[in-house]
Amino acid sequence: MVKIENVTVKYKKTVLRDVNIQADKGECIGLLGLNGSGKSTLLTTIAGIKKPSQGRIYAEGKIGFVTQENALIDELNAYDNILMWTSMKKDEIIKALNGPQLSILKVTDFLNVKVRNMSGGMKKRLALASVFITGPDVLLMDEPLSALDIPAKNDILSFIDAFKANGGIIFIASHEENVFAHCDRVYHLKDGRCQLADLTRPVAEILND
Amino acid sequence: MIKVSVKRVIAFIPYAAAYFIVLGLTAFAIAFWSQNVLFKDGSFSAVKVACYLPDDSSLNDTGFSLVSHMNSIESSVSLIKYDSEDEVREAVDDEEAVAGLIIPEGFASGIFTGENLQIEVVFKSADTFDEHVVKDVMLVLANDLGVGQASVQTVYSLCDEYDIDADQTSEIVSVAQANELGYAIDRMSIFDINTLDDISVFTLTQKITAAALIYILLLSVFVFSYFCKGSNDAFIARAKLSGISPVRFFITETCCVASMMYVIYVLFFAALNLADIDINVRSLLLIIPVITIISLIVTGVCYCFKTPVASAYISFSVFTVLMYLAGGLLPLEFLPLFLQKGAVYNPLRLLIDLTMEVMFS
Repeated sequence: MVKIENVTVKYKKTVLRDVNIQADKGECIGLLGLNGSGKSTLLTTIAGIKKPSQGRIYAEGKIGFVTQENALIDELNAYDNILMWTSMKKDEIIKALNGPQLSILKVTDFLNVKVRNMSGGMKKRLALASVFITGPDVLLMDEPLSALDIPAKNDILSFIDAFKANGGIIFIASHEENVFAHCDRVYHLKDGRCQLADLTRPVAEILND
Repeated sequence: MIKVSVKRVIAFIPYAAAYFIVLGLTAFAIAFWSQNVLFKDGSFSAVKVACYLPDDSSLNDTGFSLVSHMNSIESSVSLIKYDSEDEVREAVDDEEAVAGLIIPEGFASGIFTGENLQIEVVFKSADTFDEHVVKDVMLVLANDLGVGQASVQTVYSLCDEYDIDADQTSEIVSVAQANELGYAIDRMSIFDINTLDDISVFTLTQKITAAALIYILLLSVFVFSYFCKGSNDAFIARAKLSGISPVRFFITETCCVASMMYVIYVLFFAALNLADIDINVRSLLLIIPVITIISLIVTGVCYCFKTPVASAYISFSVFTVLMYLAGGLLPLEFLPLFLQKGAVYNPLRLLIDLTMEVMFS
């Protein structure tokens, strides 16, 4: 379970104001908002990288964070990039990548390819796999579908469904309408406020409110 | 993480080596070219001395010409003639000259009469290395002059004691003076200037080599800013969530940078040996603390700025100015006096001295 209680985050100005969200096992929470609305700040605060100015966050289990900018090293191949953040051995990594959830991302197809030679889709799959392989209970994803082609988007959405089905909690910050179809609830962030969005309306209309 | 870090280093070394080859060759080409220009015969005299000679005796000009053409004076001191005592004082005051020499009227004739008029030596502060050079040279010249003067006076005294008539005395004194002049002309060097010059060139070569090494290592921020990930939010977030502290991340990357710099130093060592530059074999071990300091600086700079371009531009500006002020790009003697004094507090000067010591002692 993840419980965000009255969280306020201030830098020079207030970025998030009195945010309250609760997510239970198997739930996917969407975060919708314009650029600079505080989506990424909320995710980094949940991850514990930034501390809230007020309020508290209670997160049960291990947190994995797939940031907007991939934490990948260009001169290494996919396998070494996974190895960098885990103490697993090679056969354990291969076994995990061929497991029911990670096989959706098809990382074994390009395990020996250097990151600099990868496409945007391959990088996103690798970034997700390298976070997931560490066994997180809560997955935070910042713009997971940006600049991806349709097959890559579909694979990542399938992965999200599989993660939910196994009891994982996901927070996704995105602009993409098709992501929110996979979310149980979507929150709209505007002027630091966070409120439940009515997804019966188009996303563009909600953003213009 | 250690195993992957080793792989990162191996994968990154070709990029680092390419940088060092391009920048290193350029830096050394410029350094050795400038060294030849600076130490070309007669083009470099660090100590400038202003001089006033009265026009009461032709011996003044003869003496000036003789002294200024002595090998040791010519290679270390530039004697510049001024038309008046005031101009000499002004030149010293404006730091155009390190010292001023004011020859009094009647000085030349006084040598023969034993009147011993004193040359006035003017300093502005008299506490720099250059000023001590002038003092020491003046002392040696005064001794030389005194010995000559004493021998002529001895001749006069002996002639007087043994009642030798004026004509014969004059003849004997002429012989003594001719011998004195011959001695002074034959002994054009107060000290062995060839050795001094060689030492200066050798020291400059060492200094330029050490400074160029430090400069290219510091400017490796250009390439290592793409290696170090400590300013990248995504990596910092990932490291924190993986239980890796920022300090551990920094130390790991510093070790990676240091190991790449060390590999580069080994190549540098081999290149200098091939170029017949004598370099201490023990430096392969002793250079490690120097490389550790530089890699800490380089990694620190990479962590301070968000983008590689920002860290590269800022470090280039800062390190170039610091290196100039430390005398790494031009000998300190070419800088204004107040900058020479400031060099004492420049940490890069200490680093250059340490590297010189490690490489060439």
